[in-house]
Amino acid sequence: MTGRIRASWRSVALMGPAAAVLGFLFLLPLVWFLVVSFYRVQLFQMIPDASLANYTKVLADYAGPIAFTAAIAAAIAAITTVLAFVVAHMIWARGGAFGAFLLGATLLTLFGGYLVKIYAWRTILGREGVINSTLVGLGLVKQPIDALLYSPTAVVLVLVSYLLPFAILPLYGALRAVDPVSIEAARDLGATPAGVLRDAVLPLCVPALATSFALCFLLTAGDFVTPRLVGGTQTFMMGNFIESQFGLRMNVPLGAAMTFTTLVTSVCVIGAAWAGLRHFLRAK
Amino acid sequence: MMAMKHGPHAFEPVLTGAMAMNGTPLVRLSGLAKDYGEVRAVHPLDLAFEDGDFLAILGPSGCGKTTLLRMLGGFVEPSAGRIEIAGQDVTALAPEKRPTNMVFQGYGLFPHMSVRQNIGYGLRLRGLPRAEVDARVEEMIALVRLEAFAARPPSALSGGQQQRVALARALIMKPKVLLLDEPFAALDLKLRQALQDELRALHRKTGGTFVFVTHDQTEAMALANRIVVMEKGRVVQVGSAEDIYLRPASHFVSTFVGEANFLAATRAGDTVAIAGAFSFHAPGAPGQVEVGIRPERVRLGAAAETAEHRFRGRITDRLFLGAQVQYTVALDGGAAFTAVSGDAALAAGQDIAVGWNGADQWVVAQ
Repeated sequence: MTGRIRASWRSVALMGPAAAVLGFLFLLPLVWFLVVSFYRVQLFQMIPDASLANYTKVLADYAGPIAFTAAIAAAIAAITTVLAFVVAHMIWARGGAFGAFLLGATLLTLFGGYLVKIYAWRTILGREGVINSTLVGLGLVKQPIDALLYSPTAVVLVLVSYLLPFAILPLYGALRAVDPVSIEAARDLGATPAGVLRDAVLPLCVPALATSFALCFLLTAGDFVTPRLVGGTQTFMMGNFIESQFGLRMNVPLGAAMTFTTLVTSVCVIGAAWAGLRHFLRAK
Repeated sequence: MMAMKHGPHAFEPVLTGAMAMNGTPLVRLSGLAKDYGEVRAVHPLDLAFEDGDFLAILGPSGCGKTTLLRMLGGFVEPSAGRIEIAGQDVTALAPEKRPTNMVFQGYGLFPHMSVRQNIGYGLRLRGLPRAEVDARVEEMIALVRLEAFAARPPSALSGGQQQRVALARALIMKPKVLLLDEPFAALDLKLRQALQDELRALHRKTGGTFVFVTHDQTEAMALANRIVVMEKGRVVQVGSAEDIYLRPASHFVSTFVGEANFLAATRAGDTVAIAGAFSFHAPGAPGQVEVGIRPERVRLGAAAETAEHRFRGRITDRLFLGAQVQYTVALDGGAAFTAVSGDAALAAGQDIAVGWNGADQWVVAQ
């Protein structure tokens, strides 16, 4: 008995530092923003209040951007997760030197910073970029194509390439835990290679697939740098709008309400993705 | 080979005896070989086995027995030769297209499926109606006595229970040939013996052809009606348990399947002669040979007086083993013999007669 009590005290003590950091730097500010989201603003001053006016305004004015943000983030998360699974599966299934090379290459891309990657894509996609100068040089187009860069497609490209290694690693970890003998057993019992993937591999990767999707979705939904640098004048995501409320417009309560609305939307999308994965990849 | 008997049970025979009757073996391997780079894992071999056989592939680790089994299952591509099952050439077929099913050494159960789902997986893939799959799964669960565990995941089962799930999952497919890769290697002795009995009973009940790989000669002799002994990638003997134990084909087989005493001898003109002792008729290639004799066939003392071949010797060591006593005897002329006897009355240091009958000895090349 005393042993168990001591053990539980020890685990509380061990969790302490992490819990303190998370509590003070994440949970406390979050609760503060939740409170503030019900305040109002008068002459750039926050007035304590319990009004739903901020949320009404968010739903009236920002329903479109929130839906667009959720949609583009879901698309980016889905594309990244699928591509990451393909790469992780190649690393896992091929093994040997090729697998080690792919894994090394994946880790290597993490050395390049976020902004470095954005500027690399600007170099590739821009007016004077690699693609446009090639196309013009070959005479395939007369004018450089501006739409290559400042567009939602560019946002998708940049974020997928940036997020890919973060999604590959958990998926590779999940694949490594799959018992290779069970793969042979599935073949032996009549499964084609595609059937093995469907019945014996993917169901075991559901937690990792959901984690990858959630990670990519959240990083995209909260991003405001990529849309500004490569999204052009048409691609505004919630991150941009929220940032401007906290910055230029100095309307923290409205920004907080926008944050929470986006947060709830994100939780719903991730929950739906998780449930969908579990449903479609369950053992039948 | 072995007549199949089907009792009044729910299972139809996996195959009718037609194949065995018209003389075509169920499985025929011709010139089958496997190289890994420069290393020859399995030398070209020819082997045939009949419908209803319970076949053991026996050999030490690294002898190529698992490679041979995996070639049968379609998991290792042969470097040469062909595999025919029931008259069909399956050499190039993928595992899922072969009429074989395998019980893997590590079981390879699907961790996200219940026992029931694991066992029904193959039948579901075949697209059988749900009701039929369910009925056959329940039948199989009853056969391997896992009723109480049917809804559990494999992780909630003991090693022996997991083994039975793996067996049921393969057997439900009614394979023409059931392949078992060291099926009992991970289990303790008691459980292993219980499962061996179960496997023998299953073979009687379901019929069909079982092929299993083992490095344990007692397991091979207890289960199989035919044993294929392999050494360094080659098949060195094929026969019944009696054949390989009493008439081993080589020095290696002699010592691998049991204890053996050897006397150096020479063969010339179909006569084998032990220098300074006796000679007997045994046709074969001339040259240096060895005469082998099992310890339990060596007679000591009064029992040796009536034996066909007799030596004198002195007991140098006595080891009480319970049911039997093991004596080490130094023969006059130098050779050391091991004898196992029920007679516990002999003592170390005693001079004694040592003998055996010609029918209990065998001759192998040195």
